[in-house]
Amino acid sequence: MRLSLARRISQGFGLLLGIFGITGIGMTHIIFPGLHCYACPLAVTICPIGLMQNLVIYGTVPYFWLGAIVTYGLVAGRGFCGWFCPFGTLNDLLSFRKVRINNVASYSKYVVLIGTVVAAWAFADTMFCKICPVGSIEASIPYLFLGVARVNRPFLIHIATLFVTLVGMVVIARFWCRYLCPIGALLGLFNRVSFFHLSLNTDRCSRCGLCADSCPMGLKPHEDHDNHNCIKCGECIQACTLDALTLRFSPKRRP
Amino acid sequence: MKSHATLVGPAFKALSQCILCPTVILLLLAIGTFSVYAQEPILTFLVEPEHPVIAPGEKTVFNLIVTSNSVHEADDVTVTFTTVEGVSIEPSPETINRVSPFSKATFVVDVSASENLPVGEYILIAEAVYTYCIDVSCFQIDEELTFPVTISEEETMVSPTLPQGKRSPLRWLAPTLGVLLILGTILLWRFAGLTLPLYLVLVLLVGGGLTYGVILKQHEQAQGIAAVLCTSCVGIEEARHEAPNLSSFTLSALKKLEDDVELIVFYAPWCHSCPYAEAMVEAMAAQTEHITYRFIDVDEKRDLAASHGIVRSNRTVVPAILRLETGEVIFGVGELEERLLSLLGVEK
Repeated sequence: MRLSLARRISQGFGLLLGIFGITGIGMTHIIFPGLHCYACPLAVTICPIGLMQNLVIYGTVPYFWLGAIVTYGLVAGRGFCGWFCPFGTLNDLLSFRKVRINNVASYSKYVVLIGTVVAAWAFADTMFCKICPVGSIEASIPYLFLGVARVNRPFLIHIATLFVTLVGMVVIARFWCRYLCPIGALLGLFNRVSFFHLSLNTDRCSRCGLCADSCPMGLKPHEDHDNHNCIKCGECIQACTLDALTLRFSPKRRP
Repeated sequence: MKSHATLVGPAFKALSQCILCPTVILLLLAIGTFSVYAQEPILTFLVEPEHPVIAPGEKTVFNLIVTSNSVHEADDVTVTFTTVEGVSIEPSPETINRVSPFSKATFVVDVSASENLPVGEYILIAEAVYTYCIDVSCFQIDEELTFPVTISEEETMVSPTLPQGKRSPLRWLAPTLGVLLILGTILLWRFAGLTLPLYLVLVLLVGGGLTYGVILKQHEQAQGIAAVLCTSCVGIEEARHEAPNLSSFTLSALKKLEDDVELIVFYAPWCHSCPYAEAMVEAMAAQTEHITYRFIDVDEKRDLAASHGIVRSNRTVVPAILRLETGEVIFGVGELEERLLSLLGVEK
């Protein structure tokens, strides 16, 4: 099976889990391994960032949350961004311009992550949720049609952030995942040790750069295949004519 | 065009010289304090162990656990016990200066019974006093608490948990060692190329975190948070913390209300806008005897909430105000005064 087809099927499962509430089973105890608003009328899983903010507000030591995040990090790291997250899938569908920009800018998502925690602590409120574009798609808009939300300032702020993010995604492939996603920042911390990882055979690599041209995250897999931003989508594997890159699922022996 | 500096300077000077300003601010504070608002308790008090037992002539210690279920901070919490003859009660500390939203604090209470105290059941009565503020409106809550105590010839019950104020300072040792361990394994991994210690620590974090989290029922807490749609929390509307201020039209319209109306305000403990919705209903009901109301924690009446669309597919939407006679429901706090009037059948 082609890698891209396998990934689309996996992304389909992510979307299916995202809207599994259509079966009427209600909210479960599962923390979603991606960005997916728990306020979505069809959600059955818990948004890790929404929960994180609530735990900061309540002053709870987040054992359960930490266990879940480390599990996801250890299993696939940012592989969930490329293979499972529904908002990542939307980013994928709008990936028209795989531009390469200075990679230092991608650390901005850690600023977003820290800012989310600090804002939750300072204001005792889930401030990130109020501007989250995923919340716009999955909560604001559906609840407008369900008669709960109204067109007011918070709604318009949500729509504005969604619009800006969508424009960003069209102009720069995976714009949200690269620069702003707080769960991407969290999972990125585990990228270098996660079992699911990209492997480079340096003996085969001719350093032609075809992989870099195909990378939606603007990375150079032939130089740094273990980058904290790698979403393990496998686009580079398909672009490589020498089969130098492969996806593996195993503990890493070396850093 | 004037620069900002030239505009701000005179404005600030005029403001600082305005002798009326402090008076106006004090007046606003006074109005806020005495304005109609739901002065409801935001703290709950529980004794641990639930039913202390003490032998005559013995001493025991129990914890009085203060839990906040509100987004508002409670200040200057004091608990004063009414003297019971033959029983000496001393809570420590004298005052808890601050109980943060959704947090806990503990009074350690020393109880000693005199040797000639007859055995039997006694009720300890205490007065809990604290304050909290919403915007410029501050309220003092004064509530009476009762706790049963048994005086028995049998052995004095020992408090099952170490009182918070007397915990060992070494309790920070384990987390500190844990963080050092993680840092150590990361350093080993980066500089010595050893991956096994890091994987062991990560697997330990996964197993330990999930297991201990489940033991503490954090998975249920997480599910509870996610299953409630707090309209302000996810940015469907703005949270409102100010005291509601009814317009003159509303006041006159409420006076003319003829039909009896029963309202139920469904709330959740972590809902940021629910206190505002409750206060608005209470403020309106204070204007007319035709409105009766109840505040219900949605988890306690899920069936009723579900039958009116407040719980849909196991998801709760709060705050929600239900008019029982018609079954109509309004959600959230945006333009609440107008929508509540409409719910009451008042046309503008």
